[in-house]
Amino acid sequence: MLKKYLGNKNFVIGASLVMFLLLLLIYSFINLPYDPNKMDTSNTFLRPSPSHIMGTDNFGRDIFSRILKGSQSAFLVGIAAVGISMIIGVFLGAVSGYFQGWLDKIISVIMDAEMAFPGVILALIFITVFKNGIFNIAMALAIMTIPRFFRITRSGFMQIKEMDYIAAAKARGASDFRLMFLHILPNITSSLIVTASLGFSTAVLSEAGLSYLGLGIQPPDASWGKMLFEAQSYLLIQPWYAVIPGTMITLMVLGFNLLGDGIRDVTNH
Amino acid sequence: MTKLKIENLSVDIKNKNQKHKALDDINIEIESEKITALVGESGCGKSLLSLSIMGLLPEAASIAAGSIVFDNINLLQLREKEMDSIRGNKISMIFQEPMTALNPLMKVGEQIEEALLTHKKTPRKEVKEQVLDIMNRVGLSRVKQLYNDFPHQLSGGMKQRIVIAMALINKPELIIADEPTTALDVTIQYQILEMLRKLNQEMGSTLLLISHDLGVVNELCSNIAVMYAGKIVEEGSSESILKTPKHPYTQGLIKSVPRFSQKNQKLYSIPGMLAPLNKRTSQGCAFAKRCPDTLKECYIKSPDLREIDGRKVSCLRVGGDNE
Amino acid sequence: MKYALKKIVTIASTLLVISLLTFGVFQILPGNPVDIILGVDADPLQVKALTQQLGLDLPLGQRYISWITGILKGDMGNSIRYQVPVEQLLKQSLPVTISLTLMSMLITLIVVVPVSIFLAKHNNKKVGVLISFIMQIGIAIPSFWVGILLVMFFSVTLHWLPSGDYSPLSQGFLNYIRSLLLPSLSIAIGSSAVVIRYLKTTILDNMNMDYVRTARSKGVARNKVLYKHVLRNALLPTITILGMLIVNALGGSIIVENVFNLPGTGHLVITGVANRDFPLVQSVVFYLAATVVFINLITDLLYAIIDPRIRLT
Repeated sequence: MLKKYLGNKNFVIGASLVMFLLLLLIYSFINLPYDPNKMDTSNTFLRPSPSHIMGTDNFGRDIFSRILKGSQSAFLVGIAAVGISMIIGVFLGAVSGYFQGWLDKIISVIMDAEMAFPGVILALIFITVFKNGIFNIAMALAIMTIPRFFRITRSGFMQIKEMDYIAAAKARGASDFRLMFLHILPNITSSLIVTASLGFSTAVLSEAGLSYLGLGIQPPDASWGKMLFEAQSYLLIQPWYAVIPGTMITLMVLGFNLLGDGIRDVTNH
Repeated sequence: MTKLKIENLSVDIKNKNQKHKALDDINIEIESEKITALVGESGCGKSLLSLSIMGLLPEAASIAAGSIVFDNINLLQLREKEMDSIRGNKISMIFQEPMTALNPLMKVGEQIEEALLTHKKTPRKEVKEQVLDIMNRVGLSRVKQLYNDFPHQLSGGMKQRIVIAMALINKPELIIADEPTTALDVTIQYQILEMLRKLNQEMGSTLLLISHDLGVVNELCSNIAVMYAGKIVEEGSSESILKTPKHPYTQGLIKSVPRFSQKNQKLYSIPGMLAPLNKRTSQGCAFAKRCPDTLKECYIKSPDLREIDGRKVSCLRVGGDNE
Repeated sequence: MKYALKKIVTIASTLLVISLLTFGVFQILPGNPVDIILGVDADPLQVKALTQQLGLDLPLGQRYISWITGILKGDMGNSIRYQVPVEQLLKQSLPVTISLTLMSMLITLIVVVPVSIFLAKHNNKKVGVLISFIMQIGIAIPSFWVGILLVMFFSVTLHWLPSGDYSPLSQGFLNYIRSLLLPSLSIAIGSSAVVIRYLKTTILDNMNMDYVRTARSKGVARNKVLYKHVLRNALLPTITILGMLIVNALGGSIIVENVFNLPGTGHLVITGVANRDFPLVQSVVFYLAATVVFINLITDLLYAIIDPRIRLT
């Protein structure tokens, strides 16, 4: 079983990237070289050196520490967004796919309407109303991701519902609730994992965009997107400052994309 | 006169880095202007053989040895471009599955046109005339309307007639029909085969009919080649083979055909199954496991195709030593 | 015909839901717009006057109706921040966003077909695998970072292209294109990667289908089969993706406009959000969402028209 996963290029590269990022995350909790927010105006724009692996930014803050801190926000937002949307999306999808009828139609219409929005706009509305802050951003991204889980759960439930072993279980007197969550749900686990992985990368990408626009995570929390925004003003002085956070975002998105693709490849055969 | 001569043809199929012999030392001579049948069960390699002649082997298959000589040209030595000019022109093929054989996004008339225009530069008006003509000749009606229809608007039988029209419009010298009626209703089957026979007579072309239906073979074909597990086991005139089959497999096949006189009797079928490619042994006769009449040697020595009584048989019991 | 009617009903209901959602969300907002404009210590008479002027004293339902009818008529109220009618701001910003979206779509369309064909042909070879991986990077890379990198390379280092600011068509075609080139590329790189991945798969799927074998048996050369038969069949389902792409380009332009300081609709929305300019955001968001819905409608109809299997049933 494990061999199949290890044989899939997507999975291997994706998993390696994710593990690398997780290591960074763990390291960020254990040993931040500097306080990411500590400004040191006498040491601005330092080039990378043993004391500052990635140099310092326009405020003299250590870039490496800020990158590490940024990984915390990225993971936090991603996990929160995916977690919340999974719970809501799967529940709605299960109910819709299993019971169908008018309930299904109403929810589907709302979901379709939601999918019509470009995700960014959705998040923007949310933030306009509720202001930014890490929790609100996670909520906004969660709302953006719900339709994905809804769709995949709904179609999975609709398919499996028709299968013989469900009819058999029903004949044995199993209740709807039991059927839904004990029998049908376990069978869509792999597609849920794939959706979670891909949803995570989308959430991270969107959060980076929002932070870049200044509508995302606010200081003191660090965010790679915000760092990119700051870096843009100093392209002439410190070009690598723009490269690093962008690379981190790309690696995270790439890692979870490949991971999801890899799992999908292996479980769809 | 021989139209097509296949000599020592062997084709390998690659599966997960292992090569298997799918066609083993095939030798066939197909007579001009006759209808020859290629008979055998699913998996014996008959489709592969026809694809080899057409040069349309799938990526996993490769020619290991042999030659396919058509009008003194070895088709296997031709370049792709040269082969392109022969396909659909001198040799054409009719496939088994009409439902998926046509491009769903092109009008059927245009698809027949393509067969013509690929090989002959023809003025616009004449093209349409010729296409409508062949459509009529294959038994289609209201052809002017049908011309502009798309495949999904046609029935299976009509689609197959379109495929046949495409195959015949350039009056090919050799037509390979790979189970052209298997996917169709029995009633349509008869019509299509009759049409094929008539056209064959009218155009004087050679027809290689691949089938597993002995009744059809009996009706239409003058010669038969019987295949089993990638080998030719018996070959000769259909009359003699069907009347007096010499290979145990052929005998079994004929016995399996249900007859009205057998009412209330259990239907005969050859015991066992044709082994899948990766489980076939190269030692001994491939049919040995299912043969009712084996000798000890049958499991050790592979029989050659030998000529006796005006036909060829590949069986250790036949043609000499053990008879 | 029935299909078109069904579609229109779906569209209408979707738009209705969107309008309700958009309107509803802004009613939950904490704080009174009037307070925001006039300040908390304002003169009560002024507060009353402004409240009446903004129609905030009317019941919820009526407010919704008047907003909706306003939108349909083209009157969306005034922006709190800019104190000018919202439609004016929209009118000024739309050409920029449309230009950007169109240009990035154009680049995408030009690039996609040849690359997909190349990848399909070389699917299992090293070159194919390598380029496919590059596509994956293209999908993962944030468009605004691409923008920054492009600016770094083409503007700062090479001085070939401007690093921002929009040059309208009226000021010369060449400058117009130059000002849009880098932004469009930023969006196009991501879009192209997504389409290429999809198109390559459909091409490969089609290459294995029976009708390809039939065409080859007629003597049609390999390449001709690819371009005449396979491509047609592979591009058809890609139309559905195209709709999704335009939507993505719209979303992407929101961010990219900020990178390059282009005064488009996306930029408008962002500043509106930053300034909590509710009338502006409310109407523009609805406008954008409605545009998305229409684009999806058009692609669906297009698909239905082009595919004879749907058209003729």
